[in-house]
Amino acid sequence: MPLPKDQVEWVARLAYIELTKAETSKYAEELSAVLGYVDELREVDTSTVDGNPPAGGQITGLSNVLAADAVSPSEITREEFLERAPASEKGYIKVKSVFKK
Amino acid sequence: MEEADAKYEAVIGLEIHVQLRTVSKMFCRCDNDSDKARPNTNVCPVCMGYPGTLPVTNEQAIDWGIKTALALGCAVNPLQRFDRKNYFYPDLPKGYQISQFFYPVGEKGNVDVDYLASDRKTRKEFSVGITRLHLEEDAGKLIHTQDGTLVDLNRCGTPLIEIVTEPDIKSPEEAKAFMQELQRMVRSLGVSMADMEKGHLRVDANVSVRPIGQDVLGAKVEVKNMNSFKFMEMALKFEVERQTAMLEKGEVIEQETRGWDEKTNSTVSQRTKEGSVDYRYFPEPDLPPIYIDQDKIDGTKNQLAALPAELRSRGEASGLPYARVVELQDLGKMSEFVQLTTDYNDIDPVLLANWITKDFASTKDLREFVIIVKLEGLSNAAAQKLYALMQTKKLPPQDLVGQIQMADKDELTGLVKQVLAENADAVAKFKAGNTQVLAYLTGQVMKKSGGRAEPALAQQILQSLLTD
Repeated sequence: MPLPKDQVEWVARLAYIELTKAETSKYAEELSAVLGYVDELREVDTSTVDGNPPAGGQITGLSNVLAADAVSPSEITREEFLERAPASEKGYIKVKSVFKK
Repeated sequence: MEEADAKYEAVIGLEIHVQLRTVSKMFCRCDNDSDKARPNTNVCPVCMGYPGTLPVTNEQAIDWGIKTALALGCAVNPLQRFDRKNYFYPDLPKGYQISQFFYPVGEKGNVDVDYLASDRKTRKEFSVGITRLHLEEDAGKLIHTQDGTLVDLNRCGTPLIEIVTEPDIKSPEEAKAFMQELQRMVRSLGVSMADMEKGHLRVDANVSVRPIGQDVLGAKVEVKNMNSFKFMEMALKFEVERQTAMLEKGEVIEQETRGWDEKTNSTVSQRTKEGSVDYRYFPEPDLPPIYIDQDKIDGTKNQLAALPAELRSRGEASGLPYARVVELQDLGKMSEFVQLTTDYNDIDPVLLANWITKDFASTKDLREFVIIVKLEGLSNAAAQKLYALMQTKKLPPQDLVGQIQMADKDELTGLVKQVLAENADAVAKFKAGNTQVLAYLTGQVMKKSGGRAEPALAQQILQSLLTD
């Protein structure tokens, strides 16, 4: 069952993506497939797996990975950083006015 | 609103962000001090969210989060985990903020606040529940110009503590008192500079008004853009009055976000973005969970220094009036005051309070000065002279007090001689055996000195000159 049209539009809006009608139906199918796959995973019996579900939401087994509070130099210069932005002005990144709709 | 005939009451809850003064950022080792930095100079692939980078949590931020949570009376969670809060905005290049949604640092705290009422005399108090305290990263700064928006991402990734209070605050005055107390607390804990004007300490408020006696809360209005204590009090006062006036007219208050506008001195409705927000929180996959053992929590709790409220109550217990206690605390002198009055119980608290704000070379000099002034019964004028002499001679007070007393005695002797010359009648009466006139003559000397002379010393000199 494809995802309802309004839900696809909602996801598109959250992602700031404009979709054509054709794209909306296309993504309805594709997103449904992804969700269907997750549903399929849910059917797997995990009762035989050792241990409790990790509260940390991870299965890496890692915990308390912390760094001392000290400064180390950045791997990029300001110039390299600004070059990656669509536009810049006086050392700032410049974007379209956020207040204009 | 006059309290006597008030029909409505305000209910206020606060959401506060405190910037931590760590050396490096929350999840990368970029310099966290950008007060004087040029825009976009403290940025790196991690805080800018470049693909393939891995954040690593700043241990100091975790420790300070725990410390602050404990100071606010929260229960600290033994498991801490970060979550992604997703939203698109130019101040957030990653497209999500790393925050704590499901497992905050601490929950269910409480802060007792005592404060000086606006009459500058009365001590008032109230209590505020703390819903939760969590850690997260700050976003960048936006500057709006004519033809676009300029973005500085230096602040992106600065560690923040977010504190959410219960709606326990009943007036703008209480809201201000709570924020000032919180500022004192985080400063005394050493975790933040907490300067509101610089944005180290930021607050949003949820304000509603309801008829007194009604249990159900009124419609909640979120008030933003209050970037000083003064503006916060003004904004909340305006908002409470606006809602009260609406209720009195039978109007319906709409749930909305309003911003304080310092040009019009009013709160202005901020058009809400279409649709409701949906942050789609999920566990941050790049950051493993952090387990805090009970020993660490207990240890941090035991090592907490006396909090500002405790220092105030100890200051009051030493005999200093409440208004003076608050004044000294705001001058940053309360811990020194409490230390001295605790260690030296013969020290005069009022005298100490008067002199503690001065520029003594050491606490020892201050302490000895206050003790000598009391012991020798020095007048304020003599104490001022002794202080000035200590400043110029760079010597301890006990080496200088003799000079002051000598100078005082010489000056006073001169005055006494004048008084005797001007009151021949009284002198004659005294010599005839009427010792009562001594009090009158002492009064004359005091008058001549402009009230600065030591009465005991004046009387002593009078007596010796009269019986010569």
